[in-house]
Amino acid sequence: MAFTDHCDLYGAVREAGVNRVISHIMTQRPSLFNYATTAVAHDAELWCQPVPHTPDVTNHGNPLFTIVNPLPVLGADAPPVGLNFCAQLTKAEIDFSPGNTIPLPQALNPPLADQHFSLLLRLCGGIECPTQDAINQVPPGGQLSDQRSSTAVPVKEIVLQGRLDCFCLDVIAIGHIQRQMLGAVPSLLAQVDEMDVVGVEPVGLEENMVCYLKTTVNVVLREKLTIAIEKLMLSFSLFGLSTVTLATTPNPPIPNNPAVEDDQVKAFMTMTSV
Amino acid sequence: MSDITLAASANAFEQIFTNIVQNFTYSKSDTASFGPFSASYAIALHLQDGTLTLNNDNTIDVSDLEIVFDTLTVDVCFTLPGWCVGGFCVVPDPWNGCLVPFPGFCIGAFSICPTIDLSGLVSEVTEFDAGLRVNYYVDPARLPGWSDLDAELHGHPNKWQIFINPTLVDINPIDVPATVANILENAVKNAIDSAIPSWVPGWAVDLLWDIIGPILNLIVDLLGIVGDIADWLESLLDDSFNILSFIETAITDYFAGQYPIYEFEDPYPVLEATPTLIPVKIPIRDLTATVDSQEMVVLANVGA
Repeated sequence: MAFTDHCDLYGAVREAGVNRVISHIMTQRPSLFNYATTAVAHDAELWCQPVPHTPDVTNHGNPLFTIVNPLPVLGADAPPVGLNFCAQLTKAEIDFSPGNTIPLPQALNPPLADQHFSLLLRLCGGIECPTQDAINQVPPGGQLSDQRSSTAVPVKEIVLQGRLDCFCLDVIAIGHIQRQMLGAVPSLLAQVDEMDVVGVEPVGLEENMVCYLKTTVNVVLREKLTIAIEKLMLSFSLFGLSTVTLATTPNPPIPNNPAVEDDQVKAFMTMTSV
Repeated sequence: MSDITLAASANAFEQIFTNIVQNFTYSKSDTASFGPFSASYAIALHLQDGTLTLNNDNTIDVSDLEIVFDTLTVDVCFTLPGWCVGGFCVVPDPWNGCLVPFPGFCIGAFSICPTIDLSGLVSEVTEFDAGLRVNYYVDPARLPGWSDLDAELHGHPNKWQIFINPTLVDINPIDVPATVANILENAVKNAIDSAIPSWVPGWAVDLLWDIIGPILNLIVDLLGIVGDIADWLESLLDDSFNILSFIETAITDYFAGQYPIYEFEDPYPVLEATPTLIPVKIPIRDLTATVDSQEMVVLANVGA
Protein backbone atom coordinates (compact mmCIF):
# COMPACT_ATOMS: atom_id res chain seq x y z
CA MET A 1 0.00 0.00 0.00
CA ALA A 2 1.39 3.36 -1.00
CA PHE A 3 1.44 6.36 1.32
CA THR A 4 -0.39 8.37 -1.34
CA ASP A 5 -3.12 5.88 -2.28
CA HIS A 6 -5.78 8.41 -1.29
CA CYS A 7 -3.91 11.70 -1.48
CA ASP A 8 -1.18 13.46 -3.42
CA LEU A 9 1.08 14.51 -0.61
CA TYR A 10 1.72 12.70 2.63
CA GLY A 11 3.80 13.76 5.59
CA ALA A 12 4.42 11.98 8.87
CA VAL A 13 6.70 12.52 11.84
CA ARG A 14 7.42 9.89 14.47
CA GLU A 15 7.17 10.71 18.15
CA ALA A 16 10.92 10.29 18.58
CA GLY A 17 11.42 12.99 15.94
CA VAL A 18 8.82 15.25 17.50
CA ASN A 19 10.52 14.86 20.87
CA ARG A 20 13.84 15.93 19.36
CA VAL A 21 12.05 18.91 17.78
CA ILE A 22 10.65 19.83 21.20
CA SER A 23 14.15 19.58 22.63
CA HIS A 24 15.46 21.93 19.92
CA ILE A 25 12.68 24.41 20.60
CA MET A 26 13.44 24.32 24.33
CA THR A 27 17.14 25.00 23.81
CA GLN A 28 16.74 27.60 21.04
CA ARG A 29 13.79 29.47 22.49
CA PRO A 30 14.19 28.95 26.24
CA SER A 31 12.18 32.03 27.13
CA LEU A 32 9.08 30.16 25.98
CA PHE A 33 9.59 27.64 28.78
CA ASN A 34 11.23 29.65 31.58
CA TYR A 35 9.54 32.51 33.44
CA ALA A 36 10.93 34.52 36.31
CA THR A 37 10.97 37.92 37.91
CA THR A 38 13.88 40.15 36.96
CA ALA A 39 15.87 39.43 40.13
CA VAL A 40 15.63 35.67 39.66
CA ALA A 41 16.25 35.71 35.92
CA HIS A 42 19.47 37.67 36.43
CA ASP A 43 20.87 35.41 39.12
CA ALA A 44 21.57 31.85 37.99
CA GLU A 45 21.97 30.82 41.62
CA LEU A 46 18.26 31.39 42.10
CA TRP A 47 17.03 29.30 39.18
CA CYS A 48 15.26 26.11 40.08
CA GLN A 49 16.95 24.26 37.24
CA PRO A 50 19.71 25.13 34.76
CA VAL A 51 18.45 26.41 31.42
CA PRO A 52 20.02 24.47 28.56
CA HIS A 53 20.42 26.66 25.50
CA THR A 54 22.41 26.91 22.31
CA PRO A 55 25.27 29.41 22.02
CA ASP A 56 23.22 31.28 19.39
CA VAL A 57 20.66 32.24 22.05
CA THR A 58 23.08 34.30 24.11
CA ASN A 59 25.26 35.30 21.14
CA HIS A 60 22.21 37.04 19.68
CA GLY A 61 21.13 38.55 22.98
CA ASN A 62 18.04 36.38 23.35
CA PRO A 63 16.73 35.96 26.92
CA LEU A 64 16.72 32.67 28.77
CA PHE A 65 13.71 33.77 30.81
CA THR A 66 10.60 35.69 30.03
CA ILE A 67 10.48 38.37 32.67
CA VAL A 68 7.23 38.51 34.62
CA ASN A 69 5.97 40.73 37.40
CA PRO A 70 6.49 39.68 41.00
CA LEU A 71 3.77 37.65 42.61
CA PRO A 72 1.62 40.24 44.43
CA VAL A 73 1.18 39.98 48.16
CA LEU A 74 -2.58 40.21 48.51
CA GLY A 75 -3.82 43.22 50.39
CA ALA A 76 -0.57 45.13 50.15
CA ASP A 77 -1.05 48.36 48.21
CA ALA A 78 0.68 51.09 50.21
CA PRO A 79 3.14 50.32 48.84
CA PRO A 80 2.35 47.27 46.75
CA VAL A 81 4.53 44.33 47.76
CA GLY A 82 5.62 41.47 45.55
CA LEU A 83 7.55 38.24 45.78
CA ASN A 84 10.12 36.93 43.35
CA PHE A 85 9.41 33.59 41.75
CA CYS A 86 10.30 31.42 38.82
CA ALA A 87 8.46 28.75 36.85
CA GLN A 88 10.29 26.45 34.48
CA LEU A 89 9.21 23.71 32.14
CA THR A 90 12.24 21.45 32.21
CA LYS A 91 10.97 18.45 30.32
CA ALA A 92 8.36 17.85 27.64
CA GLU A 93 7.87 14.53 25.98
CA ILE A 94 5.12 13.27 23.69
CA ASP A 95 3.80 9.78 23.03
CA PHE A 96 1.54 9.20 20.02
CA SER A 97 -1.08 6.50 19.95
CA PRO A 98 -0.66 3.64 20.64
CA GLY A 99 0.74 4.76 23.96
CA ASN A 100 3.96 2.99 24.80
CA THR A 101 6.47 5.41 26.30
CA ILE A 102 4.52 7.41 28.88
CA PRO A 103 2.67 5.36 31.51
CA LEU A 104 -0.72 6.94 32.11
CA PRO A 105 -2.04 7.36 35.69
CA GLN A 106 -5.42 5.85 36.48
CA ALA A 107 -6.90 9.33 36.57
CA LEU A 108 -6.41 9.52 32.80
CA ASN A 109 -8.12 6.18 32.08
CA PRO A 110 -5.38 4.18 30.40
CA PRO A 111 -4.72 2.91 27.82
CA LEU A 112 -4.31 5.92 25.56
CA ALA A 113 -7.26 6.19 23.20
CA ASP A 114 -6.86 5.92 19.44
CA GLN A 115 -5.92 9.12 17.62
CA HIS A 116 -4.64 10.70 20.82
CA PHE A 117 -1.31 11.63 22.31
CA SER A 118 -0.04 11.81 25.84
CA LEU A 119 2.31 14.43 27.14
CA LEU A 120 4.71 14.28 30.05
CA LEU A 121 5.74 17.64 31.43
CA ARG A 122 8.05 18.39 34.32
CA LEU A 123 7.41 21.74 35.93
CA CYS A 124 9.76 23.26 38.44
CA GLY A 125 9.14 26.44 40.29
CA GLY A 126 9.53 28.32 43.50
CA ILE A 127 8.50 31.46 45.32
CA GLU A 128 11.04 33.49 47.27
CA CYS A 129 10.22 33.24 50.93
CA PRO A 130 11.18 36.59 52.48
CA THR A 131 12.90 36.81 55.81
CA GLN A 132 11.26 38.70 58.67
CA ASP A 133 13.91 41.37 58.23
CA ALA A 134 12.80 41.84 54.65
CA ILE A 135 9.17 42.07 55.70
CA ASN A 136 10.14 44.66 58.27
CA GLN A 137 11.26 46.97 55.44
CA VAL A 138 7.63 47.49 54.48
CA PRO A 139 6.53 50.84 56.00
CA PRO A 140 3.91 50.15 58.61
CA GLY A 141 0.66 51.69 57.37
CA GLY A 142 2.08 55.12 56.80
CA GLN A 143 1.68 55.71 53.10
CA LEU A 144 -1.99 54.87 52.84
CA SER A 145 -3.27 58.40 53.44
CA ASP A 146 -0.68 59.98 51.11
CA GLN A 147 -1.58 57.62 48.32
CA ARG A 148 -5.24 58.56 48.53
CA SER A 149 -4.57 62.27 48.29
CA SER A 150 -5.04 63.97 44.94
CA THR A 151 -1.37 64.94 44.71
CA ALA A 152 0.02 61.52 45.49
CA VAL A 153 2.56 59.99 43.11
CA PRO A 154 2.36 56.25 42.46
CA VAL A 155 4.24 54.33 45.11
CA LYS A 156 6.94 51.99 43.89
CA GLU A 157 6.38 48.33 44.52
CA ILE A 158 8.58 46.65 47.10
CA VAL A 159 9.86 43.23 46.06
CA LEU A 160 10.84 41.26 49.11
CA GLN A 161 14.04 39.22 49.04
CA GLY A 162 14.47 35.80 50.52
CA ARG A 163 15.22 32.19 49.82
CA LEU A 164 13.69 30.48 46.77
CA ASP A 165 12.13 27.15 47.68
CA CYS A 166 11.97 25.12 44.49
CA PHE A 167 9.81 22.11 43.80
CA CYS A 168 9.19 19.98 40.72
CA LEU A 169 5.98 18.37 39.55
CA ASP A 170 5.33 15.77 36.90
CA VAL A 171 2.28 16.55 34.84
CA ILE A 172 0.75 14.08 32.45
CA ALA A 173 -1.77 15.15 29.87
CA ILE A 174 -3.66 13.54 27.04
CA GLY A 175 -4.93 15.33 23.99
CA HIS A 176 -5.56 15.27 20.29
CA ILE A 177 -4.37 17.12 17.22
CA GLN A 178 -6.79 18.99 15.03
CA ARG A 179 -6.67 20.99 11.87
CA GLN A 180 -6.91 24.72 12.13
CA MET A 181 -6.83 27.30 9.38
CA LEU A 182 -4.44 30.14 10.13
CA GLY A 183 -5.71 32.61 7.58
CA ALA A 184 -5.61 30.46 4.46
CA VAL A 185 -2.88 28.18 5.78
CA PRO A 186 -3.91 24.72 6.94
CA SER A 187 -2.18 24.06 10.22
CA LEU A 188 -2.00 21.53 13.01
CA LEU A 189 -2.99 22.46 16.52
CA ALA A 190 -2.44 20.21 19.51
CA GLN A 191 -5.04 20.48 22.26
CA VAL A 192 -4.83 19.03 25.75
CA ASP A 193 -8.11 17.38 26.80
CA GLU A 194 -7.27 16.06 30.25
CA MET A 195 -4.42 16.49 32.68
CA ASP A 196 -3.19 14.95 35.91
CA VAL A 197 -0.71 16.42 38.35
CA VAL A 198 1.07 13.65 40.17
CA GLY A 199 1.18 13.73 43.94
CA VAL A 200 -0.79 16.88 44.78
CA GLU A 201 -3.42 16.98 47.49
CA PRO A 202 -6.05 17.93 48.44
CA VAL A 203 -8.18 17.24 45.40
CA GLY A 204 -9.41 20.81 45.20
CA LEU A 205 -5.86 22.13 45.01
CA GLU A 206 -4.98 19.61 42.33
CA GLU A 207 -8.08 20.52 40.33
CA ASN A 208 -7.19 24.19 40.45
CA MET A 209 -3.61 23.49 39.45
CA VAL A 210 -4.79 21.25 36.60
CA CYS A 211 -7.17 23.93 35.41
CA TYR A 212 -4.48 26.59 35.43
CA LEU A 213 -1.84 24.38 33.79
CA LYS A 214 -4.19 22.98 31.18
CA THR A 215 -5.33 26.46 30.27
CA THR A 216 -1.73 27.64 30.09
CA VAL A 217 -0.62 24.76 27.90
CA ASN A 218 -3.56 25.12 25.53
CA VAL A 219 -3.13 28.87 25.21
CA VAL A 220 0.60 28.54 24.52
CA LEU A 221 -0.05 25.78 21.99
CA ARG A 222 -2.57 27.99 20.20
CA GLU A 223 -0.50 31.15 20.30
CA LYS A 224 3.02 29.86 19.80
CA LEU A 225 3.12 26.28 18.61
CA THR A 226 0.54 25.93 15.86
CA ILE A 227 2.45 24.31 13.04
CA ALA A 228 1.53 24.80 9.40
CA ILE A 229 1.16 21.49 7.56
CA GLU A 230 3.62 22.93 5.06
CA LYS A 231 6.19 23.02 7.88
CA LEU A 232 5.43 19.45 8.86
CA MET A 233 6.12 18.50 5.26
CA LEU A 234 9.41 20.44 5.20
CA SER A 235 8.07 22.97 2.67
CA PHE A 236 7.80 20.29 0.00
CA SER A 237 8.16 21.84 -3.43
CA LEU A 238 4.53 21.23 -4.38
CA PHE A 239 3.55 24.00 -1.94
CA GLY A 240 5.37 26.56 -4.05
CA LEU A 241 3.78 25.71 -7.39
CA SER A 242 1.39 28.22 -8.87
CA THR A 243 -0.13 25.54 -11.10
CA VAL A 244 -1.74 23.63 -8.25
CA THR A 245 -3.66 24.25 -5.09
CA LEU A 246 -3.32 21.99 -2.07
CA ALA A 247 -6.07 21.21 0.37
CA THR A 248 -6.29 18.80 3.27
CA THR A 249 -7.72 15.49 2.08
CA PRO A 250 -11.32 15.12 3.29
CA ASN A 251 -13.11 12.19 4.91
CA PRO A 252 -13.72 10.07 2.94
CA PRO A 253 -11.28 8.87 1.77
CA ILE A 254 -9.05 9.75 4.78
CA PRO A 255 -10.95 9.15 8.06
CA ASN A 256 -8.49 11.03 10.27
CA ASN A 257 -6.57 13.98 8.96
CA PRO A 258 -4.39 14.64 10.81
CA ALA A 259 -4.01 11.11 12.09
CA VAL A 260 -2.25 10.27 15.33
CA GLU A 261 -1.44 6.60 14.97
CA ASP A 262 1.46 4.18 14.58
CA ASP A 263 3.52 6.42 16.90
CA GLN A 264 3.31 9.16 14.29
CA VAL A 265 1.38 12.26 13.40
CA LYS A 266 0.34 12.12 9.77
CA ALA A 267 -1.15 14.66 7.40
CA PHE A 268 -2.64 14.15 3.94
CA MET A 269 -3.02 16.75 1.19
CA THR A 270 -4.87 16.59 -2.11
CA MET A 271 -3.71 18.52 -5.15
CA THR A 272 -5.92 20.27 -7.67
CA SER A 273 -4.53 21.66 -10.90
CA VAL A 274 -5.27 25.33 -11.38
CA MET B 1 12.55 3.68 11.01
CA SER B 2 13.02 7.26 9.99
CA ASP B 3 11.61 10.16 11.95
CA ILE B 4 10.15 11.90 8.91
CA THR B 5 8.33 10.39 5.95
CA LEU B 6 7.21 12.45 2.99
CA ALA B 7 5.55 11.01 -0.08
CA ALA B 8 4.42 12.61 -3.32
CA SER B 9 2.08 10.74 -5.65
CA ALA B 10 3.08 10.11 -9.23
CA ASN B 11 0.69 12.93 -10.23
CA ALA B 12 2.27 15.32 -7.77
CA PHE B 13 5.74 14.32 -8.91
CA GLU B 14 4.74 14.96 -12.53
CA GLN B 15 3.55 18.45 -11.60
CA ILE B 16 6.92 19.20 -10.09
CA PHE B 17 8.67 17.73 -13.11
CA THR B 18 6.54 19.81 -15.48
CA ASN B 19 7.47 22.94 -13.58
CA ILE B 20 11.14 22.13 -14.01
CA VAL B 21 10.71 21.35 -17.69
CA GLN B 22 9.01 24.69 -18.23
CA ASN B 23 11.90 26.56 -16.69
CA PHE B 24 14.54 25.04 -18.94
CA THR B 25 16.08 27.24 -21.61
CA TYR B 26 19.34 26.90 -23.47
CA SER B 27 21.13 29.02 -26.05
CA LYS B 28 24.42 28.73 -27.85
CA SER B 29 26.18 29.99 -30.96
CA ASP B 30 29.39 29.11 -32.74
CA THR B 31 31.34 29.60 -35.95
CA ALA B 32 33.66 27.22 -37.77
CA SER B 33 35.42 26.88 -41.11
CA PHE B 34 34.98 23.79 -43.22
CA GLY B 35 37.37 24.28 -46.16
CA PRO B 36 35.30 25.61 -49.03
CA PHE B 37 32.90 27.37 -46.73
CA SER B 38 32.44 28.62 -43.19
CA ALA B 39 29.29 28.43 -41.13
CA SER B 40 27.88 29.83 -37.95
CA TYR B 41 24.77 28.97 -36.00
CA ALA B 42 22.67 30.36 -33.21
CA ILE B 43 20.18 28.34 -31.22
CA ALA B 44 17.79 29.14 -28.40
CA LEU B 45 15.44 26.46 -27.22
CA HIS B 46 13.10 25.32 -24.52
CA LEU B 47 11.45 22.07 -23.53
CA GLN B 48 7.78 21.26 -23.60
CA ASP B 49 5.40 18.42 -22.74
CA GLY B 50 6.91 15.17 -21.56
CA THR B 51 5.20 12.23 -19.89
CA LEU B 52 6.72 10.87 -16.71
CA THR B 53 6.73 7.25 -15.62
CA LEU B 54 7.94 6.16 -12.19
CA ASN B 55 9.27 2.62 -12.05
CA ASN B 56 9.54 0.08 -9.27
CA ASP B 57 13.29 -0.22 -9.81
CA ASN B 58 13.79 3.32 -8.50
CA THR B 59 14.10 4.81 -11.99
CA ILE B 60 12.22 7.44 -13.92
CA ASP B 61 11.42 7.44 -17.64
CA VAL B 62 10.33 10.47 -19.58
CA SER B 63 8.71 10.18 -22.99
CA ASP B 64 7.29 12.66 -25.50
CA LEU B 65 9.56 15.43 -24.27
CA GLU B 66 9.96 17.95 -27.06
CA ILE B 67 12.68 20.45 -27.83
CA VAL B 68 11.36 23.64 -29.36
CA PHE B 69 13.96 25.68 -31.22
CA ASP B 70 12.79 29.23 -30.67
CA THR B 71 15.86 30.28 -32.65
CA LEU B 72 17.71 28.06 -35.07
CA THR B 73 19.62 29.98 -37.72
CA VAL B 74 22.58 28.91 -39.79
CA ASP B 75 24.72 31.25 -41.88
CA VAL B 76 26.66 29.48 -44.63
CA CYS B 77 29.39 31.64 -46.14
CA PHE B 78 31.10 30.73 -49.38
CA THR B 79 32.60 32.40 -52.45
CA LEU B 80 30.90 32.37 -55.81
CA PRO B 81 33.31 32.18 -58.77
CA GLY B 82 33.33 34.91 -61.41
CA TRP B 83 31.65 34.60 -64.80
CA CYS B 84 32.13 36.55 -68.03
CA VAL B 85 29.81 36.89 -71.01
CA GLY B 86 31.12 38.29 -74.34
CA GLY B 87 32.31 40.39 -75.91
CA PHE B 88 31.31 39.47 -79.36
CA CYS B 89 29.54 40.83 -82.35
CA VAL B 90 25.79 40.72 -82.26
CA VAL B 91 25.17 41.97 -85.83
CA PRO B 92 28.16 41.52 -88.16
CA ASP B 93 28.84 43.90 -91.09
CA PRO B 94 28.49 41.80 -94.27
CA TRP B 95 31.33 43.70 -95.81
CA ASN B 96 33.65 44.00 -92.98
CA GLY B 97 33.60 44.47 -89.23
CA CYS B 98 30.65 44.51 -86.87
CA LEU B 99 27.54 46.60 -87.04
CA VAL B 100 26.34 45.86 -83.47
CA PRO B 101 29.05 44.74 -81.11
CA PHE B 102 28.40 43.51 -77.54
CA PRO B 103 31.27 44.52 -75.27
CA GLY B 104 30.59 41.76 -72.76
CA PHE B 105 30.51 41.90 -68.96
CA CYS B 106 31.92 40.07 -66.02
CA ILE B 107 30.74 39.56 -62.47
CA GLY B 108 33.72 39.00 -60.26
CA ALA B 109 34.14 36.39 -57.56
CA PHE B 110 32.31 37.40 -54.40
CA SER B 111 31.27 35.93 -51.04
CA ILE B 112 27.76 35.43 -49.84
CA CYS B 113 26.42 34.35 -46.43
CA PRO B 114 22.84 33.28 -46.83
CA THR B 115 20.95 32.75 -43.58
CA ILE B 116 18.92 29.62 -43.20
CA ASP B 117 16.27 30.26 -40.59
CA LEU B 118 14.77 27.11 -39.15
CA SER B 119 13.35 28.75 -36.02
CA GLY B 120 10.27 26.99 -34.72
CA LEU B 121 11.59 23.55 -35.55
CA VAL B 122 10.64 20.91 -32.98
CA SER B 123 12.75 17.92 -32.12
CA GLU B 124 12.21 15.17 -29.59
CA VAL B 125 14.07 13.70 -26.68
CA THR B 126 13.83 10.03 -27.58
CA GLU B 127 15.39 8.62 -24.42
CA PHE B 128 15.33 10.12 -20.93
CA ASP B 129 16.19 7.66 -18.20
CA ALA B 130 16.92 8.94 -14.72
CA GLY B 131 17.07 8.23 -11.02
CA LEU B 132 17.02 10.52 -8.00
CA ARG B 133 20.10 12.09 -6.49
CA VAL B 134 20.27 13.58 -3.01
CA ASN B 135 22.78 16.36 -2.50
CA TYR B 136 23.85 18.21 0.62
CA TYR B 137 24.77 21.70 -0.48
CA VAL B 138 27.21 23.72 1.55
CA ASP B 139 27.35 27.27 0.26
CA PRO B 140 30.96 28.01 -0.69
CA ALA B 141 30.46 31.56 0.56
CA ARG B 142 29.84 30.28 4.07
CA LEU B 143 32.68 31.22 6.40
CA PRO B 144 34.20 28.50 8.62
CA GLY B 145 33.40 30.24 11.90
CA TRP B 146 29.72 30.75 11.21
CA SER B 147 27.05 28.85 13.07
CA ASP B 148 24.10 27.57 11.06
CA LEU B 149 22.16 30.60 12.22
CA ASP B 150 24.94 32.96 11.13
CA ALA B 151 24.94 31.26 7.72
CA GLU B 152 21.21 31.81 7.40
CA LEU B 153 21.39 35.42 8.53
CA HIS B 154 24.08 36.05 5.90
CA GLY B 155 21.99 34.34 3.22
CA HIS B 156 24.22 31.29 2.83
CA PRO B 157 22.44 28.40 4.54
CA ASN B 158 23.20 24.76 3.88
CA LYS B 159 20.56 22.96 1.87
CA TRP B 160 19.25 19.52 1.20
CA GLN B 161 18.52 19.06 -2.49
CA ILE B 162 16.92 16.28 -4.50
CA PHE B 163 17.64 16.18 -8.21
CA ILE B 164 16.35 14.09 -11.07
CA ASN B 165 19.60 12.54 -12.19
CA PRO B 166 19.54 11.56 -15.89
CA THR B 167 21.51 8.47 -16.78
CA LEU B 168 20.67 8.62 -20.48
CA VAL B 169 19.46 11.52 -22.59
CA ASP B 170 19.17 10.94 -26.30
CA ILE B 171 17.82 13.43 -28.80
CA ASN B 172 16.44 12.89 -32.27
CA PRO B 173 18.60 14.41 -35.01
CA ILE B 174 17.40 17.83 -36.07
CA ASP B 175 14.98 17.17 -38.89
CA VAL B 176 16.00 19.76 -41.48
CA PRO B 177 13.20 20.20 -44.00
CA ALA B 178 13.85 19.64 -47.71
CA THR B 179 12.88 23.27 -48.35
CA VAL B 180 16.31 24.27 -47.16
CA ALA B 181 17.54 23.55 -50.69
CA ASN B 182 15.17 26.19 -52.03
CA ILE B 183 16.33 28.65 -49.42
CA LEU B 184 19.94 28.24 -50.52
CA GLU B 185 19.03 28.25 -54.19
CA ASN B 186 17.10 31.50 -53.91
CA ALA B 187 19.86 33.10 -51.87
CA VAL B 188 22.48 32.31 -54.50
CA LYS B 189 20.22 33.33 -57.35
CA ASN B 190 19.43 36.66 -55.72
CA ALA B 191 23.12 37.28 -55.06
CA ILE B 192 24.02 36.70 -58.71
CA ASP B 193 21.08 38.76 -59.91
CA SER B 194 22.12 41.71 -57.88
CA ALA B 195 25.71 41.43 -59.17
CA ILE B 196 24.71 41.75 -62.82
CA PRO B 197 25.13 45.34 -64.09
CA SER B 198 21.84 47.00 -64.83
CA TRP B 199 22.72 47.85 -68.44
CA VAL B 200 23.11 44.21 -69.42
CA PRO B 201 20.27 43.26 -71.78
CA GLY B 202 17.97 40.42 -70.91
CA TRP B 203 19.25 38.13 -73.59
CA ALA B 204 22.77 38.50 -72.18
CA VAL B 205 21.51 37.71 -68.68
CA ASP B 206 19.88 34.58 -70.05
CA LEU B 207 23.18 33.72 -71.64
CA LEU B 208 24.87 34.11 -68.25
CA TRP B 209 22.38 31.77 -66.54
CA ASP B 210 22.99 29.27 -69.32
CA ILE B 211 26.70 29.45 -68.58
CA ILE B 212 26.16 29.06 -64.82
CA GLY B 213 23.80 26.16 -65.22
CA PRO B 214 21.52 24.78 -62.48
CA ILE B 215 22.04 26.72 -59.27
CA LEU B 216 21.66 23.69 -57.05
CA ASN B 217 24.42 21.90 -58.89
CA LEU B 218 26.58 24.97 -58.46
CA ILE B 219 25.91 24.98 -54.68
CA VAL B 220 26.61 21.29 -54.37
CA ASP B 221 29.89 21.70 -56.24
CA LEU B 222 30.98 24.78 -54.33
CA LEU B 223 30.24 23.37 -50.88
CA GLY B 224 31.41 19.88 -51.64
CA ILE B 225 28.04 18.42 -50.73
CA VAL B 226 27.59 14.74 -51.30
CA GLY B 227 23.93 13.84 -51.46
CA ASP B 228 20.90 15.76 -50.32
CA ILE B 229 21.28 19.38 -49.15
CA ALA B 230 18.95 18.87 -46.20
CA ASP B 231 20.96 15.86 -45.08
CA TRP B 232 24.14 17.87 -45.47
CA LEU B 233 22.85 20.68 -43.25
CA GLU B 234 21.58 18.19 -40.71
CA SER B 235 25.02 16.61 -40.59
CA LEU B 236 26.61 20.04 -40.30
CA LEU B 237 24.54 20.83 -37.22
CA ASP B 238 24.49 17.43 -35.60
CA ASP B 239 27.97 16.12 -36.38
CA SER B 240 30.22 19.04 -37.26
CA PHE B 241 28.84 21.51 -34.72
CA ASN B 242 27.84 18.74 -32.32
CA ILE B 243 24.69 20.60 -31.38
CA LEU B 244 22.86 17.49 -30.22
CA SER B 245 25.62 16.62 -27.83
CA PHE B 246 25.60 20.15 -26.36
CA ILE B 247 21.84 20.02 -25.88
CA GLU B 248 21.97 16.56 -24.31
CA THR B 249 24.66 17.76 -21.93
CA ALA B 250 22.73 20.91 -21.11
CA ILE B 251 19.57 18.94 -20.31
CA THR B 252 21.53 16.46 -18.19
CA ASP B 253 23.33 19.20 -16.27
CA TYR B 254 20.13 21.15 -15.73
CA PHE B 255 18.24 18.28 -14.19
CA ALA B 256 21.18 16.71 -12.36
CA GLY B 257 22.71 19.79 -10.83
CA GLN B 258 20.99 23.09 -11.49
CA TYR B 259 17.33 22.72 -10.73
CA PRO B 260 16.40 20.48 -7.80
CA ILE B 261 12.90 19.06 -7.66
CA TYR B 262 12.97 19.68 -3.92
CA GLU B 263 15.18 21.84 -1.77
CA PHE B 264 15.04 23.10 1.78
CA GLU B 265 17.32 24.72 4.31
CA ASP B 266 19.25 22.73 6.83
CA PRO B 267 18.75 23.29 9.71
CA TYR B 268 15.11 23.70 8.83
CA PRO B 269 13.22 26.59 10.49
CA VAL B 270 10.19 25.38 12.44
CA LEU B 271 9.54 28.61 14.32
CA GLU B 272 10.19 31.88 12.54
CA ALA B 273 12.30 34.64 14.01
CA THR B 274 10.51 37.46 15.76
CA PRO B 275 11.83 41.02 16.04
CA THR B 276 13.59 39.97 19.23
CA LEU B 277 14.06 36.21 18.99
CA ILE B 278 16.12 34.02 16.69
CA PRO B 279 14.34 31.35 14.65
CA VAL B 280 14.15 27.80 15.89
CA LYS B 281 15.80 25.45 13.44
CA ILE B 282 16.08 21.70 13.47
CA PRO B 283 18.87 19.72 11.84
CA ILE B 284 17.69 17.23 9.23
CA ARG B 285 19.86 14.16 8.78
CA ASP B 286 20.06 11.00 6.67
CA LEU B 287 17.86 12.24 3.83
CA THR B 288 17.03 9.64 1.19
CA ALA B 289 14.72 9.75 -1.81
CA THR B 290 13.36 6.84 -3.80
CA VAL B 291 10.60 6.21 -6.29
CA ASP B 292 8.37 3.30 -7.09
CA SER B 293 5.60 3.07 -9.63
CA GLN B 294 3.19 4.96 -7.39
CA GLU B 295 5.10 7.69 -5.62
CA MET B 296 8.29 9.34 -4.51
CA VAL B 297 9.21 8.72 -0.87
CA VAL B 298 11.58 10.96 1.08
CA LEU B 299 12.87 9.78 4.44
CA ALA B 300 14.87 11.76 6.98
CA ASN B 301 15.76 11.96 10.63
CA VAL B 302 15.69 14.84 13.05
CA GLY B 303 19.21 15.40 14.23
CA ALA B 304 20.14 15.67 17.88
